[in-house]
Amino acid sequence: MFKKSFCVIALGLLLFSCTQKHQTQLAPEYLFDQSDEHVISSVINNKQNTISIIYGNDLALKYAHDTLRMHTRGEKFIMVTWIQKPMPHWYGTNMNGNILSVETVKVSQNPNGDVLYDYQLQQKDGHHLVKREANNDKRIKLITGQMAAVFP
Amino acid sequence: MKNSNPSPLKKLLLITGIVVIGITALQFRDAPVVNPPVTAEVQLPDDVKAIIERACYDCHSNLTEIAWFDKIPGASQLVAKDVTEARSRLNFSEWDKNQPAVQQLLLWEVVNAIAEDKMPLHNYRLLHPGATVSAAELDILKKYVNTLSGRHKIDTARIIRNDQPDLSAAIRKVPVSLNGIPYAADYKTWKVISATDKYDGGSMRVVYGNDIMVKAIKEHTLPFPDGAKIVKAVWGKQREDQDGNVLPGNFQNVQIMIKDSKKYQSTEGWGFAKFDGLALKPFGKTAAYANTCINCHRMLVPESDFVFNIPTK
Repeated sequence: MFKKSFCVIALGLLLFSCTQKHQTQLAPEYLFDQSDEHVISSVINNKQNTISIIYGNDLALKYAHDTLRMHTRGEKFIMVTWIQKPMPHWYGTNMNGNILSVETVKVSQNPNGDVLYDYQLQQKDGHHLVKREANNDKRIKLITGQMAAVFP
Repeated sequence: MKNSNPSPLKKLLLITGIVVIGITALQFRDAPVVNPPVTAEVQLPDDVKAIIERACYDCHSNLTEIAWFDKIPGASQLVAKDVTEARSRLNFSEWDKNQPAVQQLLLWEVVNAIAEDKMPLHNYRLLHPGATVSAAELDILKKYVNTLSGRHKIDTARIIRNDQPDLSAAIRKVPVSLNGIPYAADYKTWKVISATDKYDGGSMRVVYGNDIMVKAIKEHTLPFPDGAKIVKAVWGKQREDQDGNVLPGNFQNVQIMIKDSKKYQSTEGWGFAKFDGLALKPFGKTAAYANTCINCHRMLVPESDFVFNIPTK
């Protein structure tokens, strides 16, 4: 009797496992809370295996549209970088996975009118983003130097 | 004296037998699958072609070879239905009916359908085990699609900028897709749900979700609720710089998915729209274009509520 019941249960489980659709696990931890910032542009880097979005406040977006490239005090740029991963179920596309870093550049001016950049780097350490010191000139140039991606 | 008249039951069995044999004979004679002429066969390297012919041609070409057991009454109708459906989606014998870019996308789709174990269909493979594609053969197909021109496409054209997008959007008529979905620029204020490098066709995308969509992702809600909206903004890819950075080139299109389980019941609850170029020309010749969208989404991502571009583990 026990043997028979065991076989019925085993068969049932087998059938269930065969008919169960594998449910996708959503990953809200990949989302970045961009607050009210706008998308300025995005960057793929296959050497680093990363994908990034450069966000900006109203002033930063205005600057990114401006062909004269004149900075205004108060511009704020945020570059969020994710690790790239293959898109599940579609060979032929890579997409963002976990957040690796968040870089912020705030633009100000001294009394002489010189443009000053305040650069902050936060890198993922386990589940938290922590501040790091970094050589920033090249990064500031990359983050603030992009023309806005074209939208209709 | 022995009674030579058969019983009524025997008579009935005899008549039934004759009718069944007759119908069977007719079925064998009139196999419903016919092969129309090959108008433009796909051109592929020999090793790739051999795999495609063996795995796909019985349904996705005009060179269908019907096995004897496919002609059995009942089965033959099912086979005919499958072949008709398969040819309408992808026909290697009428290849020039697709634009070159679509041809490449179809080949990537073939690779994905096989990689995801969706094609050849399971029930077809049971009766035609020779159609199964091995891992080594799938690698050959993958290597091949990576040689297609879209794979390394670089947008070198001068970038056309729409300097006053909001103004031009305000004065022009709102474009509406053939299935009635209007373009709306409000997605620019939504949250980004993913960013992608679609290297199979040389484009990069930023994907936005409205509040309902983002809330659903945050609360792990699947299927997505009615009112969820996704918008993909698509650009070409500029040439990689010395540090490996690739930036957006020209704007290509905007793609929209709107969840309304009643309105879009036939497409798994999703309304699809696509608007091409800065002029936002509605995509497609008829509203049936949405079937092309859902056919691929339905085959490959049913467990993600038919959406590819969402953050998943």
